[in-house]
Amino acid sequence: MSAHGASRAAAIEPSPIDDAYYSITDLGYFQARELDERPALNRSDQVAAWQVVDRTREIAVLVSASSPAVTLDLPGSSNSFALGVNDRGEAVGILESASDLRDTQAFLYRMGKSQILRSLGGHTSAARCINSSGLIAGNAQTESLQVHAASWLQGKVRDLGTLPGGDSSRAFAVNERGDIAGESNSSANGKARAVIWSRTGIHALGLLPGGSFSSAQAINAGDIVVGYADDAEGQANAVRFQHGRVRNLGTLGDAPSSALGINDDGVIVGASAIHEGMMRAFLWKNGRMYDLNRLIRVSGWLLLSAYRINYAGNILAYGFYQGRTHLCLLTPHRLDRAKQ
Amino acid sequence: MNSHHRFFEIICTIIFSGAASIAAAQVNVTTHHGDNGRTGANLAETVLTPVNVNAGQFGKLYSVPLDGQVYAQPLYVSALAIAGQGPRNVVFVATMNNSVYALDADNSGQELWKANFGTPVHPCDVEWHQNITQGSSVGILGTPVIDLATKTIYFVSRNESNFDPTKCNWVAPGHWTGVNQGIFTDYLNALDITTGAPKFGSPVPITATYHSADNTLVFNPNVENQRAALTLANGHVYVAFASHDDVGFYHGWILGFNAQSLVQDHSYSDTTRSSSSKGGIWQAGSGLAVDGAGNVYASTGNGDFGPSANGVIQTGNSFIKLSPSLALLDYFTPTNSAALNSADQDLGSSGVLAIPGTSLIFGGGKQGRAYLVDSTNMGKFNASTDNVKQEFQAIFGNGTQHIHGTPIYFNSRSLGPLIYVWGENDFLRAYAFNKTTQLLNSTPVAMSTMTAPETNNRGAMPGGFLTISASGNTNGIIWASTPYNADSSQATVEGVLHAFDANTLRELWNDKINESRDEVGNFAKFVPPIVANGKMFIPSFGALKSPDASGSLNVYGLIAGGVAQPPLVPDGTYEIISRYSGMAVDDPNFATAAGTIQQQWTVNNGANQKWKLTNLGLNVVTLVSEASNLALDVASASTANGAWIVQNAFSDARSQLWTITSVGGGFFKLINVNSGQALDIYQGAATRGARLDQYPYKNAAWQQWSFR
Repeated sequence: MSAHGASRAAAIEPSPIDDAYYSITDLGYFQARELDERPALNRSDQVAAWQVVDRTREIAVLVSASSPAVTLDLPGSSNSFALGVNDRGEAVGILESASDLRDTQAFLYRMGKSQILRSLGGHTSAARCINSSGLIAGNAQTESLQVHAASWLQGKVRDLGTLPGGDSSRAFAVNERGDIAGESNSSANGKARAVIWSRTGIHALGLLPGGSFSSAQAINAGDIVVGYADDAEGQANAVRFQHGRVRNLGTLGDAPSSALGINDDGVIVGASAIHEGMMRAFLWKNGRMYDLNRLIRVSGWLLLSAYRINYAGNILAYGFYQGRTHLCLLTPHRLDRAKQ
Repeated sequence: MNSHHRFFEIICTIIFSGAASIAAAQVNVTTHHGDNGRTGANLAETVLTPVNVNAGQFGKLYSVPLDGQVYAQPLYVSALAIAGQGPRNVVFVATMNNSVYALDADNSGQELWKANFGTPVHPCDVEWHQNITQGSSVGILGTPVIDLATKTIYFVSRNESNFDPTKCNWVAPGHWTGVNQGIFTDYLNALDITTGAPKFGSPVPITATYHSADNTLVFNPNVENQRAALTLANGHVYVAFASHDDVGFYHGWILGFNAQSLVQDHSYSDTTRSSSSKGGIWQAGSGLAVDGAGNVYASTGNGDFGPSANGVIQTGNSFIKLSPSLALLDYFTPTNSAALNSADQDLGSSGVLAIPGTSLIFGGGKQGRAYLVDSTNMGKFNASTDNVKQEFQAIFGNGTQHIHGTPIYFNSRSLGPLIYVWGENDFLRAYAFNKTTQLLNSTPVAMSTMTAPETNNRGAMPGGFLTISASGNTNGIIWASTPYNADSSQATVEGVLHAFDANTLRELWNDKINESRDEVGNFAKFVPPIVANGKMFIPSFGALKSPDASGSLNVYGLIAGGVAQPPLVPDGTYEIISRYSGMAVDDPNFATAAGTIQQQWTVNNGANQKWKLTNLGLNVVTLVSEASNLALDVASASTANGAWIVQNAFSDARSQLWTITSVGGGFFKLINVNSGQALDIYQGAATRGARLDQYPYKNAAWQQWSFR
């Protein structure tokens, strides 16, 4: 266990990468959940997320930099979280019972209407991502009360199954080709390892040497997958899965680190400790990991985690601003050195 | 769980004494949170009630300076026969300087005996980022435990030899670099509580091994940190360990020592790979829970989980159930344990509460997520779902929402069983437990109006630390210690104490109302108050602005001669009328925005001129607008002359506290508690819309007000 602390954003310095820096658009107060349940970003910079109301409830919203947040019209009085959004503005997520977090239902929100997605014969389900073809991925409970990765398309649900010998899997990301990334175990109640579901079936993506678990959190158009995995010392590290190899992306100074998003240019974002549990948002590019706090040109922000990066290189992140945790959109700019 | 397996182990014993100065029926607090269920409750408090705990009748009685910081909860024994001095109510305090004090609770903390156990570990060797210490050595960290039957106090002291100060490098405030160059030794101590003399062959150096199919681990005192409170059960003293700053290949060790011989005869480690680490047992200093059968429960931190290659179950990030001989009987590891490891979201940031009269244990970690677990079937690790009774988001903190203070339990006569938890950057919350369904209502029945800390609550650690005093199931009071206005994770910061009505969480008292008398000083991290025989005991890291490594014990109770004073203005909703202009304090245009500057305006019976007045004692009040539900405040808590009077979210900040004093003729001055300045009409204007400010009191009519 480590302590958590906060400090002001680092002093503005010349950007170390490509003479680029980021401006920030504040998307409002936001309360984070666990890594596997995070807001989403599409090509149009539309954000699927949630807001806290009455200090006790959370409701799904769609947010953009140019217009006010839209509360999704979802049934019931449960908590709701929007976890995925495609380029057509269709959002998916979960409805969650306030009295028990395990009691979830997957939903699709399209054209102003919501739809509950079927489970796999069990009680619970969760939709975590959607591509432009309307292919949704997530997980659902089976009749035998196992949780399996699932996909939904045009109202039909499909059990994506597990690795041989496994009894549990989850999907976290889908790309425009319809390939799905997530995790599955390979023995009953065993630990998960990163997997990809493609047209040829389910494929394990591997572990770090001496490690025991891995998870795939994002996938780009080239089927490059990122996530996290533990090493021989039990430390969790951000990793990239590509061409059958697992690359440890390192940390900003201390474990743990996790890769949470990747775009089609292979730029990766996530979160890493700098020391003793102090988490910071990172950007990984050309073999190096950068603290995003050193790439911003706005004071008053302390970026804790970067969730997603889209085609344009815009980054969805969250951090402290004006005393509270806010969601924000980072937009890259080129430095004109002649004017400095 | 039937009556033979009830968790709640009553150790609040009734003692009858002939001593005239010692009350007839008294309590003992011999372990962390009062009992081995860790309920945090003293249900035999007959002196302190919600009626008399207010700033008029209740306050600081005395402080005792100590020789180091205190992370250990104080303990208390009633009517203890001290040689040559007769029966005394004695409070015991242990310090990071390796000292144990026995203090007379009723005689201004007179020292009855003190014992010191040598040179503690230097912080540069273990605390690179000062999570535990701030300029303080590491001596006695875990809360001791007392065996009343043998009149013995047990604790672990730590010593360092071969320390080389030239190898320490102070790189920044609170940040050292060092490489454990000293040699550390941990000792289990047993002292006679009447004299402070060692017994049972004390002290005993702690050594241990743990055998599993993976290997044989050897206990390494240079990386293990004795963090959790010691636990006494089954004729054994159980001692649990974590690490310093996650440094080195540490493990979550629990060792069992025979309480009479001090022989270490039981051991357990929750992780077993020698090349790996973690699974520390931190629990923010809370003790292990014990059920009626003597089984031991702990909550563990980030670390390996699931079976090792040799089939040894690893129980990092788990609730674990161990037999009295420390064999793993059952466990619960959350389905998302890998994600917890990947984001440093330890489950074991607090201890577990054993819910009285049930087989249930309850707790949560850094996610702020609460788990209700059946100890007869804990659910183990299930890859698909958590096989627990219930789990819900209990904390909604700003930035971080760790639970560090172990939840506490009170069976209220009017509301039934309640569980209280104060996570960081959030409000104190009371959740109702339904005896029939054996579930909690995830919507709190009550919440405090202030967060922990009250300001700068953005990722600040570590939240609130709680205890309950009550007479049976009535007169319940929740006592809380939290950082006041800053993050204390790697700093020494000001503390604040609160007392709340247990049914409503309405604040009864805090130490800022009469700060000059009651100020607690620097927050003692992770330490809950205790209440015994009409007094509340809480350590601090010394008075405000005291040097590093300071410590003191603060004792509060009913003030001599203190009587309940009827308030000058009773609780109610009022218009506040200027003596000078005849106009009312007014929220312009019914504004609901925080920070809106208040004005005077012609009296018009509007809700924006109605203020809900609540007395906190000593005629200190809060004023909340009926229109905006925001509190009358000074902008930015300024202490400057002429600072605007605004409305802000109700927080009980000092700048929202006003002292009412009669100036005669039915008029009053309102003095801001934070600034000492009076509520004032800017430049003494008589015009509608004139703004209100604060200004030193000049006996001017524009500084005088009536309530109607």
